[in-house]
Amino acid sequence: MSLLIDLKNFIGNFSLEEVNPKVKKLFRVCLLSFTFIHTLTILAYKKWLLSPEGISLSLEMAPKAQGLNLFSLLSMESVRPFVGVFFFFQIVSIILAMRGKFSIITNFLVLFFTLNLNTLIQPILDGGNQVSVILLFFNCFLKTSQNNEKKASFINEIRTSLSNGAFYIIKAHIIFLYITAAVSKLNGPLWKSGMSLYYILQSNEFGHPLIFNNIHVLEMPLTFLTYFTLLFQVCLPFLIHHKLMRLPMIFVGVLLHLGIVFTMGLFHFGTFMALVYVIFLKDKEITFLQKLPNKIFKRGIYEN
Amino acid sequence: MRRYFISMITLTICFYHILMVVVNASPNSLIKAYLGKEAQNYTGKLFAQKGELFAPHPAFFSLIFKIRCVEPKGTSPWFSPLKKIQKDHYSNRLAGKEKILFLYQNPIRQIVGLIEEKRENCKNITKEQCKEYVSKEVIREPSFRFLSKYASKKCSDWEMVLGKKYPHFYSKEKKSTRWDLIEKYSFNKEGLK
Repeated sequence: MSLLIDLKNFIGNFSLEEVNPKVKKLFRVCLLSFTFIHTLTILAYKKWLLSPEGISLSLEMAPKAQGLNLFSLLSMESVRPFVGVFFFFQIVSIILAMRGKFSIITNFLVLFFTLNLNTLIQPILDGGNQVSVILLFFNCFLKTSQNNEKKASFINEIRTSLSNGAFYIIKAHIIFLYITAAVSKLNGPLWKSGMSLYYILQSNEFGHPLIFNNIHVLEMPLTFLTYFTLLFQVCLPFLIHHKLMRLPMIFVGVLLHLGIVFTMGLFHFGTFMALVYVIFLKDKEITFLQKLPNKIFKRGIYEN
Repeated sequence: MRRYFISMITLTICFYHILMVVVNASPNSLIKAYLGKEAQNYTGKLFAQKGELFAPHPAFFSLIFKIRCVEPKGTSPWFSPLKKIQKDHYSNRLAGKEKILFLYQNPIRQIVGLIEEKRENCKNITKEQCKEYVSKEVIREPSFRFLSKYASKKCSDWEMVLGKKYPHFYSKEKKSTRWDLIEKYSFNKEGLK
């Protein structure tokens, strides 16, 4: 009975109360920051990544669109000379979206320019980029301010409802990502035998001299880490909702992905995955984090 | 009443979205037989989640990419064009140089994979015929065109080696060499040598 009442309240409040607006805001900032950093990297290495050969490879590797596709305009030769304009407006829309100006439009523009620019860099896109465009789409619907009116208008109710829906879909996408990754890893013989990291980290591409030159010392820690990663990915979809385990899971997840940045050298993928954990925080935790510097600073003054 | 109606519509859309994404990413099943086509049309290119991007079968080999110039004045020693970028990437993990490496590594991986795949079809033909057949297939690949254009920028005529190096299988003994097995393929402008 109480479950039914809870469900009724949940449905009733779904279009009235903005769920975790602070979390939504921070998540948006993280997502846009990642997109911004990714763009800066492409611009910094444009000599390689946007060379005519690189672009022609990307276009041949890109899935073929039938007719005019608004999200791969840069595949058209007549539009390609304006690639600089796409970069410029992507950065401008990121800045405007971060400042909360015309939220829906600016966030949609970020998605539009990102998808178009991705057409030109197909071979360098990784799992992080693939998930980031899905999240950028739902980010357009997120509302980051709380309703102040006591009786919400029809438009406001729709807006709040869409924002909450997008929030839960983003969470569901990330959890589903872990389910897919865990299931496919459980079918991989190297993961099952605990030897995955032992071999991956010996490769020139995903390893580091400090690791592959000392692999004999690291056998056991790497086997432990392989099973730990597997266990973490299997458990995350369930434990991330647990009252006591949520924060430790976020902490471990962030550490794990920062580990990927430094050991495997996947800066963009690792950073992106570490940033998306923000979505699992609660507003009160963000408030605490916001106040933390102040608290430390004030305590510092008193102690002095 | 209105708010319940709005909430129910939004929640239904959310449920439909998640269902389609899950069905599209799931392995073949009865549900996929019924909903697979609809799920594929719905998810399109934007919402499709690819599990293989999260390393179920990690690549545990290293790639070989070497070029040498074959010019009238003489042949240059072999050089690995990505060595410097790789070295920079080892020393600074925060510079995002993996993206430059991806640009070259993915085509190499694709060509080596293609050669391995096509060689499977060579059971009933001679070695020479097989080489010709594989070479034709490789030349057609945009990845090969990309790498040969890169080599042509370095020298007017060239030889290129692409391949894989596998580490030793786990053993308690310390091995004197780092690599157990090396598979490499040589190319020139005409294709596989």
